[in-house]
Amino acid sequence: MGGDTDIIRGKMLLKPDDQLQLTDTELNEEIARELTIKNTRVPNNLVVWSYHRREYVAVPHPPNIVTVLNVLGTVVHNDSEEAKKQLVGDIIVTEQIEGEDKNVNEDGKEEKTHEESDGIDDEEIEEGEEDKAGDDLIEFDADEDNMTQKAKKLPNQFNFCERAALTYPIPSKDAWTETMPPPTATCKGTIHQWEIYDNYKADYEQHRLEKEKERKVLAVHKEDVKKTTLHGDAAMANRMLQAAKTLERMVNQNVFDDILQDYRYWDDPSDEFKPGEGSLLPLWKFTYEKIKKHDVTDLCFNNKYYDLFAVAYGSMKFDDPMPNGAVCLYSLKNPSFPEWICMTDSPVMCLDFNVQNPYLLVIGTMEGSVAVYNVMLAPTTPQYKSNNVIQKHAGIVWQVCWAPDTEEGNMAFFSISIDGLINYWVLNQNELGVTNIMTLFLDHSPISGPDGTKIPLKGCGTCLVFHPNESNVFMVGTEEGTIYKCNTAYSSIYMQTYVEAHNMPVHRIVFNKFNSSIFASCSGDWRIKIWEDDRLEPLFMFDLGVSISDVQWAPYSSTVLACVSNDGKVTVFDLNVNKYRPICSQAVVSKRNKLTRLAFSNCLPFVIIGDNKGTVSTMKLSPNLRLKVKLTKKQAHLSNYELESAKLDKLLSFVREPAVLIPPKDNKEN
Amino acid sequence: MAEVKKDDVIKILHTYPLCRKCDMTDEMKQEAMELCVTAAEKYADNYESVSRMIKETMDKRFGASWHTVVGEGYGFEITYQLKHLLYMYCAGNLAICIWKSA
Repeated sequence: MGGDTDIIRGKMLLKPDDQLQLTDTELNEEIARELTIKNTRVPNNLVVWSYHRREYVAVPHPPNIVTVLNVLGTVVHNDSEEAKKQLVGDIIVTEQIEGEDKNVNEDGKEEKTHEESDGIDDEEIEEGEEDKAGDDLIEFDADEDNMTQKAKKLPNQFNFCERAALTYPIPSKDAWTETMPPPTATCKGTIHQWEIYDNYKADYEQHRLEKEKERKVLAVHKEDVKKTTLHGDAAMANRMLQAAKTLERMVNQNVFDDILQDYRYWDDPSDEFKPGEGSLLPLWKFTYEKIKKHDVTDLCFNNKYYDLFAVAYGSMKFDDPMPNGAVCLYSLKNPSFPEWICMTDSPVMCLDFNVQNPYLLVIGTMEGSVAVYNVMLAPTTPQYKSNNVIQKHAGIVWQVCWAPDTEEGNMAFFSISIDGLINYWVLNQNELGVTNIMTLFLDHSPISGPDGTKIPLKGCGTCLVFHPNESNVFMVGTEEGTIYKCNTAYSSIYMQTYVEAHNMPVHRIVFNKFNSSIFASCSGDWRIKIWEDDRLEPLFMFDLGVSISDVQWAPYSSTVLACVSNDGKVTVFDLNVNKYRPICSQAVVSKRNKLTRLAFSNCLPFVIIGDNKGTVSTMKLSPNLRLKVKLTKKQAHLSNYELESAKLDKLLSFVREPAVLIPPKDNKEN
Repeated sequence: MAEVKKDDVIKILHTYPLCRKCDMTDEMKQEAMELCVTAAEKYADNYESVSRMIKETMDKRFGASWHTVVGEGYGFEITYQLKHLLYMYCAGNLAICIWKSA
């Protein structure tokens, strides 16, 4: 309270009103109070009845201590037995260590001993020599004062530290899916021996019946089996053939894909930079292994299928002709193998597809016979064949061409042969009927035969072409170089004779596709001549310096014509572009080989060319070789046909003008 | 047993495997039937071994949980996974039913 008064000095003391007022003396009076250990409140005379002694006995005094809280500690008194025990135990452990640090230990500082003990290991090694001395010291210590040995380090089980690190928890989530359980079904049954037996019996019976039936069926059908299998085989083979054919075409399409692309889409871009010149792009080559040594003697495109053409294989070597020949049909879709092969006994020299019935093919052979094939059938036998005894020509049939149907509706064709006869053949029901149309008598007095008879000389026909518009009129070329214009109505006189049109055999006469009064001829005398009806002099004449075996007008232009020659070259003229020189002259085969025939495709810009090694080459015409007429505004209403005709007429008007035109002498250095 | 009965008509005891009901694929069926016949011949006197062999082999061959019952007389009503049931007789007096149910 004294302290408190110091703090509140100078302040008013608050006193309760009823506080006893004491004087100073009273206040200073000392009142003594005695404290005893005796609890005055505890009764000291408690008794308890004892049944044993049969009397009251005094209860001992209850103790003065009241235990309020009892907590057991771990602190041990320094002087207690346990402390001593602990200390002694530690000494044993640390006696060597403590040796030299006696002084420190005596100071009794525990903290130090902690540090020391850390460095013990090192010191132990350093002071190995002093061990003995240390031992002595310990003994001395023990003697002197055991209590001072408290500097031992007691193991402290609480002396540890804890480190922890918390990593990010990896988040997880649940995903699940439920699948449909596999479909199930139930099955039930009971099994008894009798059931098993019955089932076996029934099954056996069924087997037996089946076998019996089979045996019967076998017996019945045994005879038929052979027939049906044979029939089936043929049908199967046919179908297989069809499938194989398709596959072959597919393979070919893959193999020749680049050619196929060129064939349809590639145009020589260099043509733009060299007007008046063109080129030919070689495409496929068609060969057939078995007839490699034959000459290609004729080519003909089919009228219905633009990709199909027929090739006649014969012989142009008349001193040593091939013993046989062949006709092959090729498709552009399959360049590696013919679609249809027909081997013949005699070399085939010419052929022609019928226009109305594109499956009919007429051929003429070297031995003088003609035959008609239906290419839809197997190529084993011809549908019609001329009778070898009474009908056939006496020599090579050089050209055949279909004629309009007869009045009875039978098909018919013409043939021209080296024996000077032009025959008209009609396809009757079963056989060929033949009529002689014309015999090419020469304008020469008959020579005397061996027995005094007079023999009229006959010309050797080599080519025949019908007028496109007048079905009666036809042109004939001969080996003598003369060209006759004839009419089927008169068998003895010529409508026109172009004497010495050529100096060598005429190989081909072709009418222009747009103007039927214009025709071209080629010959072995190196020349191509372009003629007009009723004009005995040619309008144009080109000398190539080598025998020309075929010439053809282009189907797409009135002024373009192409020819093949014996030096292996194809030459293309466009009279509209250049009246004197070819616009393209390109070697197709090597110089030693000869080209024999040429044919324009009817609808696509390419030609097929046959040579004397049995190869047919396909060449694509570059854009300059198939120039179209440029339309002016005035001509917009005109059709292509009229335009082409007009182009040719205009060209001809330049040439025709002088009544007697002397064709410009060939001044080409060839 | 009916076939033991002596009669004037000769009773034939068939022992070839006869398939009563099967919806397995042909391949599986053929294999399973061959297995059953083999097992039945191998343990002719112990059907438990027969069924154990069939079950274990089928488990190995076609995936787990095949069940097999082999016996001369019993009744069954089972739920099986479609395309995995074969119920056949073999050796003339033995009915084997194997099915798969996972």
